[in-house]
Amino acid sequence: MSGAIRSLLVANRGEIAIRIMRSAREMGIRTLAVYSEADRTAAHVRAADTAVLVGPAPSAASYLNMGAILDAARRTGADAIHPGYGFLSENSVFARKVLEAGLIFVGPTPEAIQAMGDKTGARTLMRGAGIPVVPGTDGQVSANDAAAFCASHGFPVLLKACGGGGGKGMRLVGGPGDLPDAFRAASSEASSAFGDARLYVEKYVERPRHVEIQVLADRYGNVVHLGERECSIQRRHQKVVEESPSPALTAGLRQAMAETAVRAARACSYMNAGTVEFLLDASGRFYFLEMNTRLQVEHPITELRTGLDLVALQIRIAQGEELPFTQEGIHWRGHAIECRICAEDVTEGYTPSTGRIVHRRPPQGPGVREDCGVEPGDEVPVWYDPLLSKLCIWAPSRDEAIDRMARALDEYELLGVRTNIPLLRFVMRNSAFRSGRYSTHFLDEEFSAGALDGGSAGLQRAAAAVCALLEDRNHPSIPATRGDSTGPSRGGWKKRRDESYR
Amino acid sequence: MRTYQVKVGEREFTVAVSNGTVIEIDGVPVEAFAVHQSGDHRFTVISSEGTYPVAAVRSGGGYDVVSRGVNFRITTNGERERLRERLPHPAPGAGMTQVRSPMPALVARVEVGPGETVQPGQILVVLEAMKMENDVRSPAGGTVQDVAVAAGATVEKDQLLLTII
Repeated sequence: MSGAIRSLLVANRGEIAIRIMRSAREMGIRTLAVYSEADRTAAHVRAADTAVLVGPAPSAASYLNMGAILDAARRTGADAIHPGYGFLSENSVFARKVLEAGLIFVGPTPEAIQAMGDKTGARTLMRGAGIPVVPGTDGQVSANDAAAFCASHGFPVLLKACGGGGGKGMRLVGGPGDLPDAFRAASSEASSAFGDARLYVEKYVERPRHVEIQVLADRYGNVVHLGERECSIQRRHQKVVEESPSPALTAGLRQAMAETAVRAARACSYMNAGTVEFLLDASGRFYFLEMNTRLQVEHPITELRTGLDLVALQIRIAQGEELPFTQEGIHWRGHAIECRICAEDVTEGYTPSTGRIVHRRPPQGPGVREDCGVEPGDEVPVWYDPLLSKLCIWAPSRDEAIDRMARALDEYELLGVRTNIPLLRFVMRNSAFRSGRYSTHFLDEEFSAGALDGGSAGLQRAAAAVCALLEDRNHPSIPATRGDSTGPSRGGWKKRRDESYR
Repeated sequence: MRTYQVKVGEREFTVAVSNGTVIEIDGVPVEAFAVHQSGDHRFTVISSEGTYPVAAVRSGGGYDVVSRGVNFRITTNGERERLRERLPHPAPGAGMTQVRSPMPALVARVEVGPGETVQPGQILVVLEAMKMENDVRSPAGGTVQDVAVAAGATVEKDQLLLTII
């Protein structure tokens, strides 16, 4: 189905739902949100023209509830659905149901989702297209099969979910003793994230870098690439910091990987936006890892460098339009970095942090973009992803981008839940990151809670003074006041006669 | 004048406040020291040491504070006393191990039952929070006495999961 979209239902939540709705609004498209009972007053609900309740808090009952979402589309008169990332975005059954309901699915065909969404089937298809893949099992495995693969290929290996990516349902296994527990945990996590508990095994490439290529295809066979993103700064296989271009690529390697990505997209007759992920080993060999048949979290850094709006392009492709440019028409400028701001306490082993956002003051200035999903007063619930916001920076060079991101992180104030901003500041100040020489082991090797910045003595004293004042205001003998507090006047500071408490 | 012991990370400061004004830090009178408030949680500290934007909210018996990108967990002696009074759980009896949730989470699976013998390191409960699974492992060997939660329950940080004797 194609044709002009007038009403778009966004089957997602948080920052990506808001981001998609922004582009839709710019195109004059009516925006429809869905929400769970835990998200009744969520920011993405407020961002929409109309919002529909689709179920109780657990994802399986709401954001993964195909029937409820399709029903919401029918009731609101939506003529298209954008699935965002995660949730149902790589579920070919859902894509098919959307089409059968006479709606436009803003994404690839169900067949392409199926071909690349089954991670082992995708590897086979890529091998058939002459694209190198990481050694691994050709299909799902039982715990026993996994043990057999490891016995012949050795450790370490990665257990990965057949049903989806994003680090969910993934476990690194160092030796045979760890395999049974890791298999059980990965299976269960995969089931929870994708509704599919199947796992496959991959040989673990030592000290790899994760480099991915953004591709874009219309329904007329035009396929372009929009450059790479380096995503090696990861923790437990979840990306934390991404940058573009990758400091690891030579011009020749970039060209080879980009051409391979376009070939991969053609091999599955791809349409719309997608990302081909590669592992780069220390000797500059690259291997196909997987293809993500959806918009990715880190797409803004590609937008910042190319000046393109990928969501708008997705919508236009879904409407049946031809790509408005050729490969030669795409230009890249400068350097972009994204930091994922997550609700987790990095001083205590990354424990998830739930709560209510009380105070938020984001950074501003040239080259600063933020895609944020929460506002003060919003709850961060336990049911969903900890990603709160993406802070994205553009600057003319990599060094300037790092300096700008460091400045922006220093400006950022977010209170009410713990965030990983301390860790992100650490990354920007780290010399290995600055050198551009890092692998996916970076955080494990470089970061510990002890490495966090405790602030200068002057800063600590200032913080202590504020808390003492706040404490004093709560003292039972003093009525609550809010306002200025000035110390005894020495050295020229005087309280003005007309100053009064607010 | 009232004095507050304020713990910022590992350091402790003694701050004296009089008439809503900071007059001494660590026994030394402050000079050219002003604290301006510009929002419910926003303060600007102007002192001879420099200018500092400080955002602070009360949370969980203390304060969550951020200044120039540095995040602090700050407690004061008054707050610490109130926190101690609020602690809901009695100390366990001798030989009893209380296994508590390390974070707010959902109980995905309970792997053991009352009367079961467990080894140190054995997985007792699997928690799910923000789409990731976390194994709660037994800190000690023994027998499971009580299981306080079931699959599907939501738990707070420090909530009792089960007891081992």
